[in-house]
Amino acid sequence: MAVHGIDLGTTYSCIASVDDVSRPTVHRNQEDTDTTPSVVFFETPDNVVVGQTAKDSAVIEPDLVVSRIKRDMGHEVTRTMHGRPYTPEEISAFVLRKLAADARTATGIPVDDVVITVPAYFGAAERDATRKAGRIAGLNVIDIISEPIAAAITYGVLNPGQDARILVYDLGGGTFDTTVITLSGGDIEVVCTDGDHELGGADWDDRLVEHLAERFRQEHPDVADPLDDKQTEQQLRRDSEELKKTLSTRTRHVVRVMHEGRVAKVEITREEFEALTRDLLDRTIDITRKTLNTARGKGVAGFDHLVLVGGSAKMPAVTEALTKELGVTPRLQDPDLAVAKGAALYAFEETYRRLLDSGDRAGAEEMAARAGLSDGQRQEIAGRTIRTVASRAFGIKATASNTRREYVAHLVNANDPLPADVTEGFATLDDFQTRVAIEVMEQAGAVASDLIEDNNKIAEGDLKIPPDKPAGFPIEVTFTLDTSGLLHVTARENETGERLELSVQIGGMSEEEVAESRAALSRVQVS
Amino acid sequence: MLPEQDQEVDLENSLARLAEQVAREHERAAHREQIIDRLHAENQDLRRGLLQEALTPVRSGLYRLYDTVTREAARRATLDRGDDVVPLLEALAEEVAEVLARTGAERLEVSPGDPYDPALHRPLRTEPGEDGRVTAVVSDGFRLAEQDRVLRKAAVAIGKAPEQTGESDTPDSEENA
Repeated sequence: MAVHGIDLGTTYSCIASVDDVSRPTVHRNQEDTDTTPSVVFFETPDNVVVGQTAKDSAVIEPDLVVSRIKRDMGHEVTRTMHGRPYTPEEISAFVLRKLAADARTATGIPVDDVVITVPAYFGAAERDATRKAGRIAGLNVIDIISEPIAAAITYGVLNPGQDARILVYDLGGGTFDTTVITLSGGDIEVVCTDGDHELGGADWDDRLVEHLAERFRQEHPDVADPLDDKQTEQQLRRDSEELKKTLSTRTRHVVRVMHEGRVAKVEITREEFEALTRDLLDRTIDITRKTLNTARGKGVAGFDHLVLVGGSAKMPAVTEALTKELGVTPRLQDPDLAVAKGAALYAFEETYRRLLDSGDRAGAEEMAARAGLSDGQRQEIAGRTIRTVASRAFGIKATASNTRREYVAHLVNANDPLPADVTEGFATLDDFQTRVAIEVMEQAGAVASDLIEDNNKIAEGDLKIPPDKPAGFPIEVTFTLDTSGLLHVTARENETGERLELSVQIGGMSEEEVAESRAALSRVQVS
Repeated sequence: MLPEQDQEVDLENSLARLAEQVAREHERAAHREQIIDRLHAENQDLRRGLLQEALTPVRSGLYRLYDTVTREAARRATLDRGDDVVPLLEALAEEVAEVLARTGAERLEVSPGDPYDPALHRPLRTEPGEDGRVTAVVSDGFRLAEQDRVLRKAAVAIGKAPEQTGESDTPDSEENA
């Protein structure tokens, strides 16, 4: 059984699995690159193109191309293509299908069981939407895990028995995230997370493009602006990306900006580049410091490991600044692929453990044998239980019988170990109530609060009450929160056995819609 | 149970454990052999692939040179002042293309009128023209002949038929009236 890990990113996505020497390996797509642009082009009603070609096609058919769909996950927005509305789950499903199909082409092994990563700040609704995207793509999503946790797994700093505090600094192409994770007695907890979703490596490139163009303008004020010419602009963009990479290894480099038959020779040193982008780097450092302060406020003072994630974290200035500011040398290894690899490792180990737990020893041993694991390694994996905790508090809206004040009664609190299964008793407020409105609330801010405005309503439903019951008629509410943060709510009254079942899906799709969509979209070709 | 029997059972258990362990070690050894075979095959491919990988930065530098010279030749040609430099620049571009070809990168044959093919063309813009056809080649593409793989798509402009909308008809009819 091959299980895969998928990093479903805002701009790029990536798929990996554990190979026959128990190493995580990234599968290249058909275009021969490790990562695939998360861009979907609805070429015709029954043909969808994903990846670089879809990105290129945005020039010709901008209205049929969708990018950055991850930002809409968990929200009720659709995009209509060729007359059919598509939900964010469905559009993401196309990206997942492309990854799965290409991995199959590369390895000859079909992709079925997967673990998909999401940002640490994703709440229950976004996680649920991600899981549904996987189901629509025809995949069996065994778990959803946070990106920084996946990265920490790749870096090998989440070893049960060794408590650790980890700071993850993730500078991607278009987003920046920083997260503090703790591992304590085998429990993994995301202590806090922060970031800037409009800041990324592309901003560094923009600065270089502008610098090169400005130097040209200064030297040749009598010719047209190089940035007004699409072709020159594209060349400058390519030159800037190259320049950024070159300055990661060399300390100075020359770029000749050529336009309208003129040349400006621009020499740029690493120091100059760093000075041009100092404020961008400072912003990431400020956010990182703020995150550490928040963690301190939650009782986590300091950290043992600093791991870097995201292709832009390769810039030497990042390591230098973090070392200087935080006094710790960061670890940097394969930062662009660390999340997908960690998801693959987690998927592998979790599947092995589940097989053992379900009594399928033969299945587990076969899986271990195929990955070439020794007896010792097998025992180590079997004994490793990485538990996760709730990232936020969940409860229902209740009214105090004496003051009639509305508040949120929490059933699950942030940092409760998962899976959690909590039942609490409530009662009707008035005589002869015929129904009780159950409103499920999720903590909105960084700190749990029972004020209604500090929480988001994520699901609701009515529980019928038998006739002629006086106030105080008892009802029971059960919250079941699984390890990936998905919530199932049951409300019941025990007299007639009337039940209300809710699965959290704010702005999400119902189970029936997911099944329908899976069937309908399976007829669409994805390439 | 007699002490001897006890010992026997112990011995049997140890033997069973040992047999199991040996079997597993055998399994692992066989597994390793398979991996060595695969690594060997991969290594062969890698040696060839490494050469291509090493050529990548050289090629990207040559593409840039080729683009720059071609573009400048085209720009000077449009100025229409019998510039002697134009044939020289064109010859230089050809020389660069030949060096590229010697690394295995051959120019893609793309010309205006070709139907848009996302596998070969990277659209830079659209312009009025025959819908879905290449109207101009902005920069040439290259393919790795021996593997029939596109290394760089040709940057092109794609034709888009002017939209037939009611709005654009209105001024016409007004003028006619």
